[in-house]
Amino acid sequence: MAERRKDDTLREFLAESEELLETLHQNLRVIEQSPDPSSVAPETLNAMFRSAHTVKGMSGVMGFAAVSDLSHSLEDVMDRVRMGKLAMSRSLLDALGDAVDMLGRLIASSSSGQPPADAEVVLQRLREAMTVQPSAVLMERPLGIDQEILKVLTEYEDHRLQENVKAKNYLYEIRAHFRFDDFDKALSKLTTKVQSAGEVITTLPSSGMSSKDGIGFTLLVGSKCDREGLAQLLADEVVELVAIGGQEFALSKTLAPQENEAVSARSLSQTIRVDIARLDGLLNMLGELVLSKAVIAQIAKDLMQVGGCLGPAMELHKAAQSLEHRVSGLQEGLIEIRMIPVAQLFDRSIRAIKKIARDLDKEIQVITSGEETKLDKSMVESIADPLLHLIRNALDHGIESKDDRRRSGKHEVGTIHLSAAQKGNTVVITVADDGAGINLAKVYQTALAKKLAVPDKEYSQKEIINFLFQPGFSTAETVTEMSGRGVGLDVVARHLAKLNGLVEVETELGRGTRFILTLPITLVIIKALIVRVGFQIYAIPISAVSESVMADHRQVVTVGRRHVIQLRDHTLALLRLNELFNVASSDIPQDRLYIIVVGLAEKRLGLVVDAIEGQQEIVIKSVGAMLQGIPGIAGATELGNRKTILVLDVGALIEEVVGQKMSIPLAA
Amino acid sequence: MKRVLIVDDSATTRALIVATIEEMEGFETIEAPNGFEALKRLPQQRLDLIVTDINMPDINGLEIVHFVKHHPQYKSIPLIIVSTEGSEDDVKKGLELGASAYVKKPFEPDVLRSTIRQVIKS
Repeated sequence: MAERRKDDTLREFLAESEELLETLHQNLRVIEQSPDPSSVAPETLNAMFRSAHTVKGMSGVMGFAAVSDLSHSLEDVMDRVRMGKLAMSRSLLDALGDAVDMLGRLIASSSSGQPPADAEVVLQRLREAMTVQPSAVLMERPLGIDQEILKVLTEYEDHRLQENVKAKNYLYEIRAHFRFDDFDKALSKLTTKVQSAGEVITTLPSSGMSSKDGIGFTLLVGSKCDREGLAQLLADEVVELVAIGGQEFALSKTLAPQENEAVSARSLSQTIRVDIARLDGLLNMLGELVLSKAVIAQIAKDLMQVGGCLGPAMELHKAAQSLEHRVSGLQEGLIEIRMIPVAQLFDRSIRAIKKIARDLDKEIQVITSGEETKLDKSMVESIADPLLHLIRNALDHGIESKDDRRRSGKHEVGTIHLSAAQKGNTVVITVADDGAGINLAKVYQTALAKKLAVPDKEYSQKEIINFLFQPGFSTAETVTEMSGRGVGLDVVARHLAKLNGLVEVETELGRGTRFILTLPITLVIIKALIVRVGFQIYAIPISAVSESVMADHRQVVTVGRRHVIQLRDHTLALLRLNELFNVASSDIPQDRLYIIVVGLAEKRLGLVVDAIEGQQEIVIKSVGAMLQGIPGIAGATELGNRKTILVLDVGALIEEVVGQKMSIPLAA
Repeated sequence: MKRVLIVDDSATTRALIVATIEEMEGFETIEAPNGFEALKRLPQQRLDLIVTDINMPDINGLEIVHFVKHHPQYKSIPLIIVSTEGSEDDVKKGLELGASAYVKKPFEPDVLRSTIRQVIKS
């Protein structure tokens, strides 16, 4: 096989495995959340079997033996469960959860050519589950089912048929005929409808009924609904309903299938998988279109100023407006495609929480809300690690031991609440625990000991929390000593800043701590504040801006070698962009300062600019080699007037100023 | 040119079957990711062979075999089942329904190729 083809196949394998693992995890979660694991919907169990089966098949053809072995065991267990030969239990669920986690690790190591992890313990647990003797399955086959259908039933479908008989459900054959070109949609619609009243055991395409331009299907259905109820449900469909063991009757609607297609129907075969890089490419192109649109709008505006709101100028203005409308529709649509619900992220987090809690011997219940909130796929990937970091901290240092909790009158089981919500252009994700809270007095002591805080100075609560995010604040012993947070929070904050996000903390001693992450929905097209410094224009991502204030220059004081200003109850360090980028400031007398407060956690920085020009959506492009590596620049963008401007990297600016790595102009 | 339709819900597996078949002189392939798509491909072009998995959602491999073998226009198209072990009864049913051969997954490329040659020749 050619090398390129091999690479393509490997990529395909990875993407597909990721999807299948996600399906496995999702279904595990469904089972976990059901009050009785032994009575889970058959579709859930079958979906797990199918995913394990597919992973086995494809890892086999790829030659990844370790993956194939484990998925084979997983498939065997799930096969027994779905066939009713093995009961689902909490302990089996745990074993399956670990097996799926291990499967993920094996897939990663196999595909990167690394030696596989040792899966023996996991395999052994699955084998133990299999030693339970399968209960004898009594074969019962109802009379009256079309022999042709019975010939085609798979083992599993046969089993489902028997389960329906056992449950004393009514059995039906539903026959339908569809146009060939969109039979999948029509059939999916019918299937969805039938599933609301029962189980579709099998769907047989029947060539006997097919005419030249159509195709027939027979659905074998088990349902608690009697014939009349089912007939009523299917009143709008042109189908033949046959009660098995009884007489048949056709539904008498004379609606032709052609007239019946307007109703929307979701079909699995309607989805496609697209490489995210392709979407990036499309968005990039769209970015160009957004710029062209702005250019046209600007020309229209200029023309109207010259020639008044008449004739062609007005027409152009109208056309530009309609173009704007459509482009933003297109943009929303494209961004929407990249969105995935944060449920995936939460699922992963819950698995991590369970595992960490087990290791720490703490009992934790996880509450989630807002799982349906959507976020850019690449954002979800980038946020996974910082989120895990916060969760680990919450479990390790936030939630007390069982004994401590009992002593302080709390429930033994600790609670972690993960929530997500969309707020305008941002998504807010919170990690809250009902643990001990952060002991601010101790944080202050530690900050003093580490010379981060100055003695005799009064600090606000926010300023004290701010110390947690300072690099080098926490070490192992300070953590144990204050039984609080701090492990690598600076890393979390830095990560968030890179994503143009913010992290904030709320804490109450004895009650718990809440970390609030605010993230832009996407990184591709962002809203930016356009500012002017001298004759230069810069863009600042709006998600990183907490406020803008105007101040009198006499309010600026010098502390150490740094300009600062007192803003309400805290001190704000200032960074003059004209000095940073060495551009001449405007001639306007500087008695008033425009300060853009960019915040990263409790670390905030005031950027001093000459003027705020407005807000605009921008597409960030990487800068050429000449500008690369200049601290404080995230990229470039174009404005409608075809001017290229620089986009500030707020995270880096704060990092550099606070870390004093940059030779920024300090007060003399 | 012999045209082969490959039906499997795993894109990885399809890609490897395609690669295996296209190494043979005089063969070209088309793919279907599920039973629905497979049925749709049938009237679109002349087919010389169908290679299908069994375990797929909605319309499975057995149903495809049944449909093809009962259809006046398509019943002469031979089918090969490529499926993992563990569903012997299903494979047996597939052969009874009229599939010409069964190749176990994971397959040896040579085994799949020689099975295809045999099936097409007969």
